Amino acid sequence: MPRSVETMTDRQVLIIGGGIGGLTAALALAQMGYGVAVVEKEAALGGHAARLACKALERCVKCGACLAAQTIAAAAAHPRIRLHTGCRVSGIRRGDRFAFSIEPCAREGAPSRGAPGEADAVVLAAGFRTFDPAGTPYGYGLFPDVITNLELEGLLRAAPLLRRPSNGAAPTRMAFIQCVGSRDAARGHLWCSAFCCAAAVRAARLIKRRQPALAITIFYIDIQTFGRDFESVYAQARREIRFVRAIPAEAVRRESGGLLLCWLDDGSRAPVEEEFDLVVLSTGMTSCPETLALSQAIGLRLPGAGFPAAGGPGAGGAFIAGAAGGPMTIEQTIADARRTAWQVARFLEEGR
Amino acid sequence: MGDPVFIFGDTDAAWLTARHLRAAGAEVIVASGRTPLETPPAAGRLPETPGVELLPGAVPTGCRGAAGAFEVSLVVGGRPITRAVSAVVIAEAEERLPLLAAYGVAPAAGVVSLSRFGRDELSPDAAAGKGPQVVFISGLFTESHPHMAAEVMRAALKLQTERGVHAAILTGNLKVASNGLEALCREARAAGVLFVKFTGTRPEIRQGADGRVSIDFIDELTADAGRMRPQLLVVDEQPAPSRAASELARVFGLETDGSGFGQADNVHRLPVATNRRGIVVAGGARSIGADPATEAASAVLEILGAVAAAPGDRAAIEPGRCIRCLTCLRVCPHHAVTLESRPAVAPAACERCGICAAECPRGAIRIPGLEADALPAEITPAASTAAPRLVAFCCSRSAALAARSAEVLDREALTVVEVPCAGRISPQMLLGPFGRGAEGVLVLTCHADNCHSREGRGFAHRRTELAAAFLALSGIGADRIKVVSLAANMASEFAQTVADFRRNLLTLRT
Repeated sequence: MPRSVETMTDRQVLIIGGGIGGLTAALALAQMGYGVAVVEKEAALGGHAARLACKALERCVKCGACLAAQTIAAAAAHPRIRLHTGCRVSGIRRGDRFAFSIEPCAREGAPSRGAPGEADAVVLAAGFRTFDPAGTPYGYGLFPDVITNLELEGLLRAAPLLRRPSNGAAPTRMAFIQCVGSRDAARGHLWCSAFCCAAAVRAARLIKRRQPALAITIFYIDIQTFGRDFESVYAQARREIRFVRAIPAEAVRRESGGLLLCWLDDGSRAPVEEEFDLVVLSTGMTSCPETLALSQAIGLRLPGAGFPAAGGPGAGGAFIAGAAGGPMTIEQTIADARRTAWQVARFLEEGR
Repeated sequence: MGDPVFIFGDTDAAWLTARHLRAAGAEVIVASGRTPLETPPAAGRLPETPGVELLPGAVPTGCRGAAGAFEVSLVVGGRPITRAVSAVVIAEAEERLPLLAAYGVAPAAGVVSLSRFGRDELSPDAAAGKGPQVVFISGLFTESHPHMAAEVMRAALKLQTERGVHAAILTGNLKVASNGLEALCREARAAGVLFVKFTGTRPEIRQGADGRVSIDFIDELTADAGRMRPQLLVVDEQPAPSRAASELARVFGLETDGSGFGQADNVHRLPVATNRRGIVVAGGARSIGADPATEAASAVLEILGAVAAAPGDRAAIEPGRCIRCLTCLRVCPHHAVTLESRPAVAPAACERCGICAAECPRGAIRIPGLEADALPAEITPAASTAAPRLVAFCCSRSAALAARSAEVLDREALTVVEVPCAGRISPQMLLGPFGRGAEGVLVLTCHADNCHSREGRGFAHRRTELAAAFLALSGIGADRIKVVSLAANMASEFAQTVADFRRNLLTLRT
């Protein structure tokens, strides 16, 4: 029988990934009395959520990014959670329990020694990797004023006013291109990344509030519903931001430094060209390279390539939580991690 | 865990929560306004056995007490009863409001709402006529939701593949932000389901005397005019709180969101918490389209946490000082103040926000570790720096976290005072630092709608304005105190706020 909180137990759970999903699962399990080891490959905890900017206007816009800081602080303070940052799990094997070693993510060529560990259950919470837009026709990597949504988050965190990376000037015409690497059958990416419409609309509204002279356009396929008050937020956003239902074919840099985008106009069905001086690519989620290998090693059967289906039952002590199983928002990740924590507790108490 | 858990609702989320709680060794009471209780598809109902009490036809009328020891009053079959319960789960189904009127059509042989289509498994003649015989509308004049779009796409796919009926989906923004929906959309398209999207134009929908509709539109991709004359038009629905939701929120003392669901639209309540410890909301009682199994697991975790022994550092009212003005009862957002012969704080319900202690006109409320006279702390004499000496009161959930990673120059001239909620900061605390050598006071709170204790940041903003007015009158100057909303992930804004404020204070020195 799963015990109520704050009861000691010697059962141990290994959580691979210290993002908001892994840490939420860790906290729920630790509160139920289990010992938890969290292994995070990055030096810092919190994963992607911890790198997002607050997009509050006068009021909170409920993106949930601020929860990362709180979750990290709570996990770091919990006596039953051991955190291994800058580390990876290697040689994981399933026997009566799981045996593995935790070793530092050493730099190329440097030898590393692992610390052996054992656990009664494993939660794969490796999160996601954002799509690399280097191969897209938008000149990412070539044109400094073409940036990703994650890079925009970093700029918003660093300074109140947005500047063009190329020359530090205030941009006057900015574009978001949605679904870069998502909903893309040619790449086999048959998923919507679930967070980018919300992130783009919220970011655009915040930027517009801070820099009213900046004209913002969002290029999209379908704007996805987010938040409880979406109808009114979306209606307000359409008064502040131009929404264009088209995905530009390419970006061309002009001699002036401007970026020319070309798309097919809705009404006239004629090609339209327009110059922008800052372009944000809303890159979607892709599966982490570690996820497939780790899931095989711990005996999680994944249905097909790309993203495994989230919310699976888990098998023989192996479980998946958060965006490792498929694109999720912060809110969905928190709920999913708690579902997984409960499944782990049931498994540990009942062996099923 | 002592008394049973009271579950109101007979949905999948409700029954799954009941099953999980039984597995955890708790007794449960499952109640609903319906008679008999519904048996939903995924969970199935629990049989009435020792440890399981079923109360069909029940209407809650009151809820007193705190986590671990609530008393719920109900009327069951016209008879008032009470139950001692340890926790409460509200897991009713959401309502689905028809949208037919928004499209100018009325229910008829040729027009149905999505739920009725699903319930009756209507299936028109596959061989009749040209073009789509069933047309679905999903989020065309309104915005829809992924779970509604999923229902529509699955129904269209089924008609197309199993019945050979040509189906079409008319939509504005197709909602695919949920696992598997983009793939489902591709599958439906490949099976022959026609998707028509509208951006700048709207189709014209006319309903004839026979109830059937004809739809005239311009295909925005090809500019071609099109007409559909389906045997059946199926219109999706608007999810909304249940009809009992507002009454339930009143009875259980719950905050509601803008639509009336029994949970504030506040990230600190995620996923299933309410403003009252020990009372959780799950499934359609709090939101739309949430997975019942996920909701149930979260509900059980929340309850296990809430009924654990309350820590000993909660607010307490000193009987000798209390004049029973009931300010505390009025301001507590967590229903932690109970009133018997005199007001008292229920430790199991107290979230330690300190709003009551700051508002109490008699200073009769003590919170261990948060005493008003201890809080302004020592203000470090900044002998080594020219920077103005500052005290920054920071909410522990937001600005205090930002402060930890902020790169602030001359740290020794900044005293950060961490409080569980900005609502704890009393006028006395705001003014105290000026008597101890501070040149300025910053009050850093969560943003509106982000306060864990709902009103704490509002109190902090109002009290700071009052303190500023007092400082102006006393000649110290209103500019020496400032209140700013600052989230946990705003470290650079924290440093900027401190720097800007210091610059201002330096101009006041001359």
